[in-house]
Amino acid sequence: MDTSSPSAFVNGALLRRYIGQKVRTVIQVIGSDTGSVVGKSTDDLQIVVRGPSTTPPLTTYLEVIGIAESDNSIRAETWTNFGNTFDPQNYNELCKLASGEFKHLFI
Amino acid sequence: MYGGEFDGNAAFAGGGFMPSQATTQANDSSASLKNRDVRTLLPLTLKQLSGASTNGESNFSVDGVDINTVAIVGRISRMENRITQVDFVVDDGTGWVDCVRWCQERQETEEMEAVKLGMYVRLHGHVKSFQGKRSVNVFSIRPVTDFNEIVHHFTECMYVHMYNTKLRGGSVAHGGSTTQATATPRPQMPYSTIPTSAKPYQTGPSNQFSNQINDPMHGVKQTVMNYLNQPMHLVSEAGVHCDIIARDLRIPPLQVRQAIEQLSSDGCVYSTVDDTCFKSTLNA
Repeated sequence: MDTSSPSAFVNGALLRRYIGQKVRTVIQVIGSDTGSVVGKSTDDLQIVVRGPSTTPPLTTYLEVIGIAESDNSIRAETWTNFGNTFDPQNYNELCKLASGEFKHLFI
Repeated sequence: MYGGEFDGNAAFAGGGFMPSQATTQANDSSASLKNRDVRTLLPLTLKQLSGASTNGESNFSVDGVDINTVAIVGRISRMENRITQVDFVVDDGTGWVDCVRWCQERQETEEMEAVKLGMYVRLHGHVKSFQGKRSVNVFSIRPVTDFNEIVHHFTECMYVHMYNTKLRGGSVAHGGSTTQATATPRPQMPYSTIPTSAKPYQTGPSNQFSNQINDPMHGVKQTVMNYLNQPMHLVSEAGVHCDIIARDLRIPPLQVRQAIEQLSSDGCVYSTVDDTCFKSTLNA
């Protein structure tokens, strides 16, 4: 059991707080290139995800876990297709609570 | 000769030869009552689980609620299949934990076959501690198919945490995740998945709350007691005639009689001069 390297739940606005740290977020995929995916965060900000050069088929929503490189880009270690029926507003609220009032349950 | 139904305990119980029988029964029933009371299912983040306070012997508690079964949602980051058991590691973003799933029945094996490395899963299990290391003994696991479930799980963790800490009067500090274990923890309302009222539920033998609900005479008895507990009636030797009580309180004499009978058998009042005059046993 270990809690030494958590990944913070972030949306576009919270990403800047965790630069250099492990984060996780869900983006709505707008476009993809070799080695990078451009998406919209749950609070409608643009986020670029740099990942492995071969991008597998992506669903509408994509969860990315990785290191925050800047206030709008993440270097992905893992990504998971979250399907097409994900609710971004719920996730957005979760990010706000998990970084705010209930931070002690997460990080 | 020895196959008969002779129940020695029952035969001797009446004479008081086997007092331990009664006490062990009482212990068992109270122990099982306690177990039934604390059969909780807590959705937790692994951060919460790692911060759970313990009083040794695998008794964990979070936010003052004893942990019985936990629900975790996370990714499988490592997995080793050892035929009779599967050892795996679940990472939910707040931490990771070693898990074990024993597969002795076919159904258990099939359940584990549906779970692959890298998948998000929901699992239920018991928390175990061995040499200071905590792990989860999983008895139910399934892949997550709708990823809103992940958001739901964490939201539920926050809700349950808030629910349990609010019931303690908000005495939990937000800084540390380990809650201070009080010496005599009050019986808490463990969060269950059945929606209940927000009132703290008190278990235990002296459940006066439920008595009040079942007792239609309670209001009258209370009024009569308040009346008899007044200083002037407490000091009077002769007590008060029950008709006078009825007149002063404007309650029908029959109801007063009934109330006094019940109060008398409860030991709250006693008759003085004859069985129409009564006094409170307070300060008697």
